[in-house]
Amino acid sequence: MELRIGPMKRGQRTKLTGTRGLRGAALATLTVALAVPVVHGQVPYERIVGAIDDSESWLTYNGTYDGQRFSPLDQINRENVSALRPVWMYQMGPRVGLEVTPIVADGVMYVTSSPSNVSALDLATGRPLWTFEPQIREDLRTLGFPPVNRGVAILDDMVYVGTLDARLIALDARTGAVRWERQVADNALGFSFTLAPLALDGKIIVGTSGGEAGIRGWIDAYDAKTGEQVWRFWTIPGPGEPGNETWGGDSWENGAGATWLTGSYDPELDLLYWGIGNPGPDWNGDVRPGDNLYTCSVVALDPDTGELRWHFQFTPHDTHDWDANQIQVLIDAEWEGTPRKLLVTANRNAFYYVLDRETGEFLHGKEYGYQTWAEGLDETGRPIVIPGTDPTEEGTLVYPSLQGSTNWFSPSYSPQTGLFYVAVREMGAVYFKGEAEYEAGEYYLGGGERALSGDEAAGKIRALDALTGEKRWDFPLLTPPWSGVMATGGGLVFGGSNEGNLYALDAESGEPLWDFQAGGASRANPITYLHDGRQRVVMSAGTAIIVFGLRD
Amino acid sequence: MAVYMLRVNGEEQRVEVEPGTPLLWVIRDALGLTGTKYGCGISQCGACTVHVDGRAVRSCQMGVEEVAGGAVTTIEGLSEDRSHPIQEAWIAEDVPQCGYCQSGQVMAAAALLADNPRPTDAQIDRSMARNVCRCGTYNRIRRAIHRAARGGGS
Repeated sequence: MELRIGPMKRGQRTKLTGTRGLRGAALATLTVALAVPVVHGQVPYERIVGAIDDSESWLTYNGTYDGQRFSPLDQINRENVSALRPVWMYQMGPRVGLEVTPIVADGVMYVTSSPSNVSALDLATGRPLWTFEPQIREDLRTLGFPPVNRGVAILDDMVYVGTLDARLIALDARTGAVRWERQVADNALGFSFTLAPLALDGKIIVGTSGGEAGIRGWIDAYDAKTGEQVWRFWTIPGPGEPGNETWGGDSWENGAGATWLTGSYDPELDLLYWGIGNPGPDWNGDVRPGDNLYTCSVVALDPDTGELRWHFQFTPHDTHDWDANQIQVLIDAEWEGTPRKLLVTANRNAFYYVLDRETGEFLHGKEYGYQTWAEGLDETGRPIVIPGTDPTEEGTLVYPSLQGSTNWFSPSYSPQTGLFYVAVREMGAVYFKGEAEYEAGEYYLGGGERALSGDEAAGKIRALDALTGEKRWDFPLLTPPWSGVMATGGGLVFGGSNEGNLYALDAESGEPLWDFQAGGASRANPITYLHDGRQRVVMSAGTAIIVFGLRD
Repeated sequence: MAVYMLRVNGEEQRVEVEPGTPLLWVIRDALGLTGTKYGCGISQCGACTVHVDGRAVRSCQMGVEEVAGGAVTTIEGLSEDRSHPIQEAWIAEDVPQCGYCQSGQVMAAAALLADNPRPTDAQIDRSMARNVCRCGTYNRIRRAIHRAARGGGS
């Protein structure tokens, strides 16, 4: 089906690429898009809300606000995926691996690369239309993470990028020109952006890295048009605020709680969901007695005010660096006979959780990765910790390793199969406890970790029943993965390996149906869209973005 | 089997192989110099590129008889310590992804610069077009050749 929309869109796009107008989008979305005033740009908020039907686009980090990273597109499917081959590829540049999820809108693909560069590529050919390379301060502090960037957000006619030196920059989507720029925090203290910002209605939401630098974390909202701050939510409550009593002494001041991965959003409930990172110092919990809220938690915030509606803590008083910076996946399903709005997530601590996303109520939890630190979860979802699993001066062997049973790379949920797909790391580590003294802009770790490697480490793509957490199938990987997955309406799950294999699995059985050796480690999340009526699947490997399609 | 005398990377070599053996297999199997790669075997991809008397050739399609008496240079002999301008530029630009085609690319680029010290983009593209890189590192290959041409530095 090809649809042309009104002259407004066509006119706006002529200067951009000279390619054809927006086509194939769902009728409902078009109606909304055309109803907005002319001052709006290419991607109004309403269009992002309807992203699941906007088949020629990939409008947010996980494709849709619900974090499902699922596409209903089925042109590439079980029957024909074996014929998938590259259409074009784009080599981003040297040295640092790609962890970007491209954003696709109106014939343009927006990608980022290290340190904080943005490129707009012609969707037909990969030819760069513009590139933005911000000057990054030379004394950059990236404490505890590689200098990556995971992508932009798009809203109206602007794209938004967070930089490694903690600036938020709005660019003109057509030209790459800076529309506004804001120094959000001081990189000298460890604050830094690696995440793709999240665009809501008129607001840009960002979270910070720096959980190994003893920061006090936050989630921020900025006015999309002006860059003015709208609100800040501190992830570590201050004196007098509820939760501050979960921090002994003044340990809250350097309690970390970084917010370095894009959150999810429910437009109907109007709630924003965001994962919070580890407490600081990472491995020495003695200096911060208590549960250390809201570290290793998910928080639900009012997106207009930043006010906390509820929280759920996965790992109270964490001493293993198990940030809850994983994707919070929002699904609607029948729970014990009643339709319910759920939040499901595979946490770094090796447990899979089902929560009520209206209230934060814990409904169910189950181990999904090999772990040796907890006997299980109690009826409130609190882990029953096995004594003797804390880090020690001599070292304590615990599964999983500090990178967890999974990490930042996106899982996927398919409404067709009811399965939750997650890249699982099977790896233990010896955790050490050491002295912890805070010094501004330095590592604040209180110990260390030595991961088990070689034959003792492996990985898999695991399919879980999304409601029970029961394993349905495994697809084994040679080494612990660092790459996300995407399920599609074609009955497929796409993913990548450290060994450079990009692959498609049967979403029902896990059987491999296609693979492509790309020559470099895959460290990113797949996306898909229609271009000129043909489905494309995009994955990255090494330093290359690779666009795949079927032969015409 | 027959005996052939070859000059490879400046050293006289005596090899005993079947007549008609491609130079690639003499280099890799008889002499153990495995930096030169087998790609397609039909002179289409450039992975097996070496120099014969300074000229870039496809070693998979060149019989051992054709090079007897000539001087063969492989990737191992391009420099003693990776100091050839092309090698230094390759490292500076971090060109490879998987690396499989890269010794062929380096040899082709070195031959290009020997012939044309300041090639244009179009000349680079024309000269290098038959060296295939499945990882698509062409933009970095081009940058590295320009870097080497201007004597290093960015």
